[in-house]
Amino acid sequence: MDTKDLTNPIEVVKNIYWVGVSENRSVLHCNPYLLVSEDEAILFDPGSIRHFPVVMRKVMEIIDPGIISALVVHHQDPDVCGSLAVVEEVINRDDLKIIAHTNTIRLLEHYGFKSSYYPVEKNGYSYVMKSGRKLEFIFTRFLHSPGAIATYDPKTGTLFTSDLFGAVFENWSIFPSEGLWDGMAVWHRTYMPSNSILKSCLENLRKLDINRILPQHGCILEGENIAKAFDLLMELKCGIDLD
Amino acid sequence: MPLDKNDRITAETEFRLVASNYFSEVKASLLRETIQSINKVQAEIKREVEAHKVAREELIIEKNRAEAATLLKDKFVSLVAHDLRSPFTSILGILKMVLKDADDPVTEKQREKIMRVLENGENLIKIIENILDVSKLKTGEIEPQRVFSIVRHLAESVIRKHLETAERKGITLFNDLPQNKRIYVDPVLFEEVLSNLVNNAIKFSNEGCVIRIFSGNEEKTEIIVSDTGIGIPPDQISKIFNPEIRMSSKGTAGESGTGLGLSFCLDIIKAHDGNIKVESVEGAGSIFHIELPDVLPQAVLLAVRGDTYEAYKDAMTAHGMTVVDAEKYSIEENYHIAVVDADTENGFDFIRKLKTAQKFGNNPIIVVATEKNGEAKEKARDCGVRTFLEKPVSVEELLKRIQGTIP
Repeated sequence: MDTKDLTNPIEVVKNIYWVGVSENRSVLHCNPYLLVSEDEAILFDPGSIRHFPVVMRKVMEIIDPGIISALVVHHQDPDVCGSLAVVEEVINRDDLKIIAHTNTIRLLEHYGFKSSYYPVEKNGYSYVMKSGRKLEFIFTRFLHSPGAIATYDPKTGTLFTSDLFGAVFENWSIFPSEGLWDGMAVWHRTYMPSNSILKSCLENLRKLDINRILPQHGCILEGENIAKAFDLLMELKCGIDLD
Repeated sequence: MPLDKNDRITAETEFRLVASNYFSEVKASLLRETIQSINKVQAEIKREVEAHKVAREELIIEKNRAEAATLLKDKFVSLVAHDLRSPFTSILGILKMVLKDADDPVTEKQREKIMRVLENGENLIKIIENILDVSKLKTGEIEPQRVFSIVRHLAESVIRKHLETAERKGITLFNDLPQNKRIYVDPVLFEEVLSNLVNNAIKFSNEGCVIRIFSGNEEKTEIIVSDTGIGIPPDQISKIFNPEIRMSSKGTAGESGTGLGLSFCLDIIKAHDGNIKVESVEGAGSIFHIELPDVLPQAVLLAVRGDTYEAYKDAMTAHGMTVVDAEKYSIEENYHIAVVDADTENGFDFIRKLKTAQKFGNNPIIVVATEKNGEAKEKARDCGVRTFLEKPVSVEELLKRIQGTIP
């Protein structure tokens, strides 16, 4: 598989795929991910209705969508869950779950989804798949939404951070390229509320054994880029700090 | 399983379709829900309308029932009053004969007692007559026969009737009504009202008091009867027209009354679409305002256009009438008189039209025509026209005829 060809799904690590869309019309690229464990799959932040056909086609290239048991919605924005109602249709499972924090669920209810909700804070901030693979959720409150969460997959050391560690820049690619660090600073300055909130959350995340960060915008961060990103953001003045 | 380029395009197209179908489905379901709510609301409105209709019908039935009951009651009262009057009249007649019987004279003591019985008996007959009048008006047995009348003349006749009583009490009556003030009333009933008001004014006035009948402001039809008598106590003023509360109190010379007079007056004036209002200052006098709707005499004129037409029209207008050309005549409108030149092409057709129009009814028609062997007059009579004038008809002659019905 050509990992530079973004029209393909990209296997980031074994059984975790980037299924997003690369398009020229937007600087804000969205990154949905698919995690497969035996005959069960979980889709993270399925994306907007505009991206739905490509995302779904990519999912279909990897698995039968019917094996998706849950959708993780890190927060309620339209670029995260605008396509959810149609994704539900395609998956077509009565037991499909939407995993989110209750602060997010309150808002999701207004989309009129059919599936039942799985509020993370009432389920010990974790979800165990049939295979026994356990996903952990971390409350990243106010970054940048009151119900924002991140997902940690201990098996692969993968951290799905949603808007955290995101970046917006020209000539984007899912892999780090020129402009990433400035793009990450710009993004956090604009969308994160303050350094104090950001910092305390990052200190918490840093305790995890992280092999890669998969943000919903921006690039996949691995190796030394992880520490570099933490260092950048820990000191970054953002949101109301700039007033 | 990775797809080739074509399959990818196909897959994405299909997913686009899924999304589009889904949203069509959402739209359709929204539409369905909207239609359902509209239907629900419509059904509710329909139910409410039905409920209202039923309630309204029930109300109408109740109203009719109540009206029928009132009418029955009025008729019953009328019958009872009628049946009471005759035996009472004979009782009083016999008593009068007893008093006058020279062959079998009563003692002075007996005479006094009989006089008291007579006095009370006559008062009772007055009450019965008033009840009869009121009930006749209410049962529709009397309906005002309205004509244009000079109110000063009506007042004059009323004053003449009460002059003696007034003089006896040292009260002066004035007719201050303008010479030509025209009102549209039933003259008999209106005189009854005026008579009642004047009678009351005399009853509640002392020597030296003044009673005036005059016209209110020019803009509306209002006839006023004022007195400088004892006035009406404030706590009673609202009750004087109420037949349920009999208010009769003794007059300044001990006169008694039936207490039904004012209520009857109000009934009469209400039957004329008018109203009676009263203002009074205790110790200073009372003022009764009879308010009547303003009715201008309306005439319809059919004549050959030209000098005569214009002359007739001008004269009638100068007489205070609204004149409408026959072309603009509508059977829906109220007209009080018609002047028709039967020499016009459709003259007699127009007369027949007037005669059958419900609103015009039996109002007078003055026909002017050129006579040939008495044919036109004959034809006019056949149409039910009483006033026929042979041409040439001068303006003065026509006006004289009009004044016969509209003074």
